[in-house]
Amino acid sequence: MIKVYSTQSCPYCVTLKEFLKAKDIAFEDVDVSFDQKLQQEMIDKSGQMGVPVVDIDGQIVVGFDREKIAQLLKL
Amino acid sequence: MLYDLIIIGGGPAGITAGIYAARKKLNTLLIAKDFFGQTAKTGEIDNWPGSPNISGGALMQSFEKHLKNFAINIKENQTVAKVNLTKSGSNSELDLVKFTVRVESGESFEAKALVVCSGASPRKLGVAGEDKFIGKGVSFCSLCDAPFFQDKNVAVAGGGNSALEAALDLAKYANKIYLLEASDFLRGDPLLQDSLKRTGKVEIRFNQEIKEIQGKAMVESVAVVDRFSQKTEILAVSGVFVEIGWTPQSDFLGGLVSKNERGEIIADPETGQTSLEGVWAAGDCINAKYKQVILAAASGARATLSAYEYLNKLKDEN
Repeated sequence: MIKVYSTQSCPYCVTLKEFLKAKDIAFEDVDVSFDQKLQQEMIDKSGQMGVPVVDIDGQIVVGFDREKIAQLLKL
Repeated sequence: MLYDLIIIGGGPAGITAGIYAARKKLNTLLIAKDFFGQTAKTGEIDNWPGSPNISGGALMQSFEKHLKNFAINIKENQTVAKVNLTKSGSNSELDLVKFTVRVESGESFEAKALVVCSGASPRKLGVAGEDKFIGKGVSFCSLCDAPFFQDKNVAVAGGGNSALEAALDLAKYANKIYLLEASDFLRGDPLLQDSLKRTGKVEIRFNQEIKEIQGKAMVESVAVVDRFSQKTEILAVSGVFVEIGWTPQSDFLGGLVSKNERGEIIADPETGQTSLEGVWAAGDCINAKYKQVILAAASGARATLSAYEYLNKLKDEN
């Protein structure tokens, strides 16, 4: 299960989601812009409040760290 | 493969340099970390003619698409680590100058000429707590992180357009915004200043020096000193957005080209030529007074046109 926590206008979030789409990786897009509960969920998972955050089966990646994401997804 | 031209950078300057190189059919490689520049992090761009009120992200996507319409070699997701110069040939007049560009992943590429459009990165305050709280209240991207400050008090450091834009992004969410400017005036556009005032949420403070960003797990306050009274005040804020300008990214060139005291590459205003033959520079990494999307794009065009003339001359000589 892959979740991407993002805000609407964050350019890194857009690029990250495009990267996953290009690799045919299915993910749930969690827009935290207007939902403080979802924001808290993201903060609890990542210990910080910068977007994007990716949750790959419980492994958390902060920011668009392409190499780490590719490694976790075995791309 | 020895390219005619390597362009370093994927912001407005690099993309425009690439478009001009493609139209001149130069055998070009463009190396870029991404195609954001600093523009994609700007909420709204309203001074690019023909595209009123476009978001920075949308403008950059359209730039990128335009570039990729051309048959140009692109190495994306790559950061340049080092540039080296090699000269070959014993007869000085027939010296062949060659540039080797090494990227952080270890690969190297070679070209006869370079156009450097490596841009700039956000300047930090350099105070206690800043690094510690990055992502925990300290942010350099209001567009990305503003939603986390719903009904909270925040501080924005700076008084230029970027700081005013950040305060405007935050005004959509935050309860109150302290705009902390170190000098006694705001450099940002009067139009933006008007918009800020209309939000009714912004307290503009001049002559404020940020001393420390404080908190436990997350930012809780910021210590500011008034430059005149020398009084320290603790402002209770959950976020500090740092928008105090930019530092040019030119370290990978080492001492190859002349730079000014700010680290900006010194480029001829007419041609973009640097102090080293075969190297041109454009955009926010050069010593140009105004940093604007349109000026970056223009300087990218100028640099490639000038490099094109040089490459033609090389061909004639050899």
